[in-house]
Amino acid sequence: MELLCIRQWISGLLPTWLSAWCIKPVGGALVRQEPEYILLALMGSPLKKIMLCSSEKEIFSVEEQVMVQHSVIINNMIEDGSYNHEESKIPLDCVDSKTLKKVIDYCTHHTHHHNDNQEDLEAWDAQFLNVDSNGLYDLLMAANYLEIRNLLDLIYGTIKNMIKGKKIDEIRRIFNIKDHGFTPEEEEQNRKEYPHFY
Amino acid sequence: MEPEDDKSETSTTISTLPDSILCNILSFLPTRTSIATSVLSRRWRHLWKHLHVLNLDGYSFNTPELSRDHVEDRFVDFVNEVLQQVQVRRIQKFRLEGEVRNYSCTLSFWIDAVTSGPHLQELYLSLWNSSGSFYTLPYSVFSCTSLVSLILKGDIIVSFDNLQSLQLPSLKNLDLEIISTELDKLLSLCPALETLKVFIFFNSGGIDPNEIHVPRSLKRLTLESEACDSTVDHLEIHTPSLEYLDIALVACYSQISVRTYPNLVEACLNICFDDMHIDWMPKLLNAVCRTKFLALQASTTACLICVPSLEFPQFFCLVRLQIGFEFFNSRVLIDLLHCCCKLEALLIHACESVSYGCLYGEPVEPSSWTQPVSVPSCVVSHLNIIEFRDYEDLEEEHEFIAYVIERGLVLKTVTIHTRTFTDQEIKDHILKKLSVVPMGSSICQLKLD
Repeated sequence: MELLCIRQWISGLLPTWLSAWCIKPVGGALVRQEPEYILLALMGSPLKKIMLCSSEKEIFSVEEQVMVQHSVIINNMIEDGSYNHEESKIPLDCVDSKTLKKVIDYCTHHTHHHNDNQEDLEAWDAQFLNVDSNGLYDLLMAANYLEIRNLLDLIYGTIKNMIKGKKIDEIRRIFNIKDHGFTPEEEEQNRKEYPHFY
Repeated sequence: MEPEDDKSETSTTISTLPDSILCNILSFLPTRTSIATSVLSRRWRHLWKHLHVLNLDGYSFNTPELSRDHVEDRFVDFVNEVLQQVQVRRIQKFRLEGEVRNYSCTLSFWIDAVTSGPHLQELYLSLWNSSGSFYTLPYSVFSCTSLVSLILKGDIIVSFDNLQSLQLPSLKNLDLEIISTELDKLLSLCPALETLKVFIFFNSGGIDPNEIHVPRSLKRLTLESEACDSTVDHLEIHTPSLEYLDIALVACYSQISVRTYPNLVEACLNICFDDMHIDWMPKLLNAVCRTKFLALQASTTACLICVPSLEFPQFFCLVRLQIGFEFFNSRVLIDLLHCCCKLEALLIHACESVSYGCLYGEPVEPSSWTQPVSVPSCVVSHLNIIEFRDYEDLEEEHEFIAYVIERGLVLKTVTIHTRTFTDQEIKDHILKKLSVVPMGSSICQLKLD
């Protein structure tokens, strides 16, 4: 009976400790947490969390270490002390909830799986970017604002592949550029200048 | 990945993104393509002129109808045109690859212009010249104080008369795969270097260092050299911050000076068999004893086997070991396993085929299995994964695998890859033989292909 009370007391006190310590299911596989996490958990301190607030005023709690590793902006905020753990949340007025959740997903996965082999990480990235154009541009703006280098490079790489080697009409279609704004004479001139592009 | 063709009115076009982001997109494209995007729409017309990144590819100007000289002229005109339209002093990254036959002077002029800007961070040159002459890199590169990354490949020569007023204080990344350089002098200009990747073409009379002193700030080192006849006296790697080490040495170093690298995470050693190396092999192994991941290529293992009374250091942090053998040697492997108390993953590669091969014309006696006196502790407590490539089902190989399967209490997967062209019958036979071995771990899975 007493043991149960103590256990409940501990789990009430440090919920993150439990999830950090356990073997937990991630995408169908059982993933063992890395030694550093276990060590922190055994030392009894909960993994520090920070609060991010989307433009729709929804609050997301995420491990500080995860965001600090990926976002230069958030790292700077925490280092220069402008973020107070007890009280404040970081307002991200230009990132909506849906996008913020995806950004957090990306950072969390890459922090926890940084020891995985390259192919697995690339496959996960490809799956992660399987979104429509609006979603992609929102992610790009968010990653740019938060200065998350590897996510930016990933998205830029994807967009680059939409342009490279393609003809003008196809690129206009992919990017949904319905009205190019050139006069017929200008368009004629364009064709002459870049014949291989048409 | 292609976005869905969204015809609803709420879909945004890419053109609603701000200029700076569109420019960033362009900076990932070859400059020729970036300029062509000016016809996408009015919005894109002048965007490319704000580019801070130039990717100039001389090869893309090749067309079968034109002569090589003509192609080169077109490329030179193109680059001159581009440099006039963009703000040269704001260029952050300059990347140029191609063949340089007649335009070395113009090239130096471009490089001088670009390095004079206070913002240049990355310079990448890949120049090949089939007519046999080389391009000498202008001095302006070595006084570019903002340069963070310098990558040189091909028929380029780097040489200094004197080092006065030359410095690369911001250089963090240096990648050289060139004909000739005074490597040590160049390294002395880079006190903040973190990543160094060098491929040494010894034979071409190229980089000819008697001594190489690697900067102390270094975190990642990749050193690869071709065969040579001469000797390098001294290679010194005193780098306390070293995290990643990848050496592939064929050349002869009479002396190598290393210290233990306390922050080492990954080490790959590929040392070709040579009498001279044996003396310093144990020193090198000691220096990497703190690493988490270790890869020993077959030739390195062959070197180690030849060291008289070799004693492995304790690899306290080693989690993953990749080891190649010319011919599988279980005794050496077991000795090594005794020193890796935390090993979780073991990948073995037996490179040469005993059935087909003869070592230097002599028929090979496969070494035989001796039951170890004591079980390596990592097998019992930590080893999760074993993989064996080019498995031939020799008695020694089989006995080793069976030994580990029986005693590996936490083994999760054992994967055997047979040599290509192995009959299905033989594969079935191997699988059958191994399946009857009593498994020490209840969750162990045996896979064979």
